[in-house]
Amino acid sequence: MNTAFRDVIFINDLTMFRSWLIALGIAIIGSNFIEDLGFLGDDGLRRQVFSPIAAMVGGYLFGVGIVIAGGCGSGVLYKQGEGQFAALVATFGFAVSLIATLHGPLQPIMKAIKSYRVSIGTGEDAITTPALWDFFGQSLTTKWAVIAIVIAIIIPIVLKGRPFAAGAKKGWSWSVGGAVIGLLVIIAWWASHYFGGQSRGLSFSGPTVDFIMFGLTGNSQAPFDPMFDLFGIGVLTWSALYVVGVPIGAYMSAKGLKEFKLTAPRQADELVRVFLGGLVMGFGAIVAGG
Amino acid sequence: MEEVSQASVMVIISGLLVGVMFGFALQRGRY
Repeated sequence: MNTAFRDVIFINDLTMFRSWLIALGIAIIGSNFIEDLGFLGDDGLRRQVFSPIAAMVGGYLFGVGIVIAGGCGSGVLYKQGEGQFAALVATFGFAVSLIATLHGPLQPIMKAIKSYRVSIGTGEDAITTPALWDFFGQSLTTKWAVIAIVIAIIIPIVLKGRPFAAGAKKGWSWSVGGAVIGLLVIIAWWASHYFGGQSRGLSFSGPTVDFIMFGLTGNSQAPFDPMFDLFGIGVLTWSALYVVGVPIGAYMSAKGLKEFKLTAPRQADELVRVFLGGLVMGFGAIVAGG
Repeated sequence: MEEVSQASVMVIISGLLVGVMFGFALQRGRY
């Protein structure tokens, strides 16, 4: 995500943004499709409450944080797998801030920002976790009509980047990468429900908290998600496991492309910068609900 | 404290595998 938006703003290059749009489009269609087929149980896609102020404040801070830290939550994790020490420091800042906001002293501030919520309707029939289409109607037809409009907006932007042209010599082309990421999001929605006990998707804020809390205290202390006993070592969520898997997968890919290299910034202030970026990113992520 | 079920091999493998595939894709896609 960091690369997608950073390139648009700083070098006016829409390539990775188009890749992100492909992932987004495939994820929206696929995850809603499996929800309608009943593969995600009663919870479905587990939509969150709509807190517009929190979404804007948290989203802005998260955006600032990822640029300073050099990657979003999953970005700094996979860069560890490439051997980047700065990414490890950024993840440390991210984790400290996530836990302080979710479980610690920053929690009251987060709750205050998130206190303004928008629902549709009133009383027992009110929709407290609205999706975009709920503003137009609650039928399946409305849902898929809104999705069709979103996809119709995405397609011409993607096609303008010539997605079927030959890709990079090393690694995947932007279009293949986006398609694979989108498919993995769908798989994660299903797997989190089937194996993890509750649909959660492929978020990295809450699961990073789950993993760090497990690592430090032996208990993920997840407030909303099922936890499992790991051979008596401690209890953790299913999602905490994929946080471990990301740097491993990135390491395998980087090794295959001969791109793995242990690196550290020459300037110490670079480490301070990415740590602070991680702190901002973590607070923004929890406030925005991401 | 709420009863916690034992993590099965499939729970562990599926969780790790989703992460491995995602990390692999992020690196290959240059994100």
